[in-house]
Amino acid sequence: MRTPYIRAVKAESLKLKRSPVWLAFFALPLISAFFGTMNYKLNIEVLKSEWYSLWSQHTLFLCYLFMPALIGTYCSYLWRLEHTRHNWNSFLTAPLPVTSLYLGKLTQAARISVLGNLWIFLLFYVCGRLAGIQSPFPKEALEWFFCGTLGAVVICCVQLLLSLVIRSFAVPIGIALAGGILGLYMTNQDYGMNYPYSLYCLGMRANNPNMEISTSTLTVNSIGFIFVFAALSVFYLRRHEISSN
Amino acid sequence: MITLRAEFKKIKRKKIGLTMCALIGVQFVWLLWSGSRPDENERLQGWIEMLHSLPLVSVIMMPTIMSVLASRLADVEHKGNTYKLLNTLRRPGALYHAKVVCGALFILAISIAQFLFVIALGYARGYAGHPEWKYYGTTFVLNLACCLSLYLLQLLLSMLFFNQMIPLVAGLGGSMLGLILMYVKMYSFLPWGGFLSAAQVNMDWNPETRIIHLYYREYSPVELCAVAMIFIWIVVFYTAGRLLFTKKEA
Amino acid sequence: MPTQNLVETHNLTKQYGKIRCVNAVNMQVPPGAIYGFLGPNGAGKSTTLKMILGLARPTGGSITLFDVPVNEKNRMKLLAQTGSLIESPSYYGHLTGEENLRIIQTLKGCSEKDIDKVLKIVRLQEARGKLVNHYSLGMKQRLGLAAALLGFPKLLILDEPTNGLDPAGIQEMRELICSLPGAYGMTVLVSSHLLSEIDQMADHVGIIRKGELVYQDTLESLHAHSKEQIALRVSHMAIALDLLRQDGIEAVQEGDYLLLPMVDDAYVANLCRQLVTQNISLYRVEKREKSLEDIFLSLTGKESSL
Repeated sequence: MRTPYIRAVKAESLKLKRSPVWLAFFALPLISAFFGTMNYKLNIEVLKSEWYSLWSQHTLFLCYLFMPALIGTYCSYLWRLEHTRHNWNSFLTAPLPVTSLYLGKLTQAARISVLGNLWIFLLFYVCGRLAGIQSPFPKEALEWFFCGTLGAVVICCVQLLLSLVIRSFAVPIGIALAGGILGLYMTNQDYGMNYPYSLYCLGMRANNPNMEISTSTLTVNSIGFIFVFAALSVFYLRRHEISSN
Repeated sequence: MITLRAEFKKIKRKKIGLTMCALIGVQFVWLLWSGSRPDENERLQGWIEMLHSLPLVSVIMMPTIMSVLASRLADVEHKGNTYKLLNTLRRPGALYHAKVVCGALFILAISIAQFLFVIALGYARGYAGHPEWKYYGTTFVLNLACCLSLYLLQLLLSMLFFNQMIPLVAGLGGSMLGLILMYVKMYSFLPWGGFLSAAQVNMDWNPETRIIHLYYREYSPVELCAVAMIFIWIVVFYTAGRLLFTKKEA
Repeated sequence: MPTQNLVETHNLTKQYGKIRCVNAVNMQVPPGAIYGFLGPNGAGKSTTLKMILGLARPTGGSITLFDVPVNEKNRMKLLAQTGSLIESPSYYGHLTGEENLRIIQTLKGCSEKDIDKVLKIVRLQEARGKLVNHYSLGMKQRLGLAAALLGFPKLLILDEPTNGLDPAGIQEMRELICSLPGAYGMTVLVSSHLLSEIDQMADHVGIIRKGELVYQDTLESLHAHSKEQIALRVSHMAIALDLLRQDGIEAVQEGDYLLLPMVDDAYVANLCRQLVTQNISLYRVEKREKSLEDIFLSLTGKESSL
């Protein structure tokens, strides 16, 4: 007998069949990488830091403006499965702890974020080589990947809560976009570590790969946010009588 | 008229107005933040600088705002399974028109709010002289048209697919494309390229002296075609939406 | 104190604002029963069932299932033994019927073989590979029942399972439900706003009206209420009453009529003869039937929505 958590994750995977929602996570980084690399090549006399310059070209728009909203669409999609077709009744009468049911959703959102990030780094490497960068691939990229993914999971948790409570598909995505844009400001004001939408960009070192940030603070804060927003969602699921339609 | 009134009733509890206000509010915050505490030199350049940054704000936010608006209006029917029902109550196409007009009114309200805010902000900051009404007016009209074309496209997608992820991702992808095209100053005939066509200010940047020079643009014939394309998109998306809707209802 | 009942509620109450939607309901569903939960629309049926399933929180009272109190701690254990179909069927339209069942099977952690079994029971084997979006309402409803049957739970809770079905579909669903206790030893709690439907399916009945359980017993005893009577209209009531009393028959006066319990034809013939010989004019002799419908109406006090 499998544990409730594994069962919930497997059920969520089954629900995602036949809807190629992951395509979005494939397409947007691709567009960003394509034009980023193009711009890098066109302005090579100004952008002299090789991998670092290419990285900022790749991630500038993507991380600040589009990834939060993209993660938002995925989270909205996950809950929309239950918000429509009377599925709350069957979802909540499943003989699993509510926490497992929620973690099933979070695992899917986190998985697509990890894969999306992997894709971003893969594109970065391939485009760098294609653009003719000779120097070795920066070792820090591993840390960027780790921190960025953690930051992405924070956004997953926030968006899952929003899409759970708001029950609209589109509105949480609007909030995610707004959140990402305000993240620009928060990061600029050195407040980014305490603002959930900024952690992703900080972790990824989007726009500024030379930025000095404390990995431990980022990790601790991210885990803190993940815990708080996940707990709020579980609390909502437990306390609130969610009715179908 | 009845259908339009019904449309507003349907969204009564959906807080669309609130959502739109919040999203336009973020735009205001952004505009407030960029270029706060201007010095003497910046005040001289204020009005042109403002008009230069406006399209950037628009291309990042407007496509998503339009997709949220369209999804919100179309999804009411998906969730209630009412596309067929409503057809029995009204002549085909009336529902589509109601959604178009309802959305257009929101867009008009958003655009006016944005415009008024920008002008009020400029005066409050004490920018030198007055805004160049000709260029501000053109921006307003073209921005409005561009938003309308995107709204019509999003409405089409939101009605076509039950899965609202598709239209929303299209909105995000388009926004990204539009932004990148604007960044690299590439004129295109894509719907999201319209914001670049609507931009009235160009910039020269000298890498040696690091001096930014802003100037009001003159349209080249190709660029005028790109402007015309905005209106062509409106016609195309409107027609396609109407066709689809009458078919969907039937 | 252990009880014999599979489902028991004690003063179960649900209040929304100032309105008591369910008021002090004491429901008792014995094991192996098909319990028909009957009441007009909006009487509180769905809310009661939702509280039993933990989908709604009671504002008062308590529930026990399988002699175990329903609470946060026991919830999972109890849900594992319960199948349910509440309101409209739940489904993921972009998936096939079989895939939908696989999701529920995974969540319930029951055997994969159950999927084939329940598909067979609800006769959806042929449509198993079809997207549920393309199912008819009847098929969706049957899929919902199939999902509830997965794992073959001891208790099945079905809320208006025939809603929106055509007559053939209703018949099919009814037969299916009737077969469950015999074939799988299930106890079924099924709600409906149609008396005739419960009459044909259930062996126990609970009738709810404006949130209150106004009747609860076996279907048999409900039928016992539906007695037949003979009604007489005569010129002299008092003399006729006397005559009947001499024969040991208790008659009651109701308006212009005397109502006496069902008697055989020979006695009626004899009675008429006697009345006529005593110069009493006999205007009417009627057979009266108090139908189940009348009982239901008098219990629920509602004539609409039936």
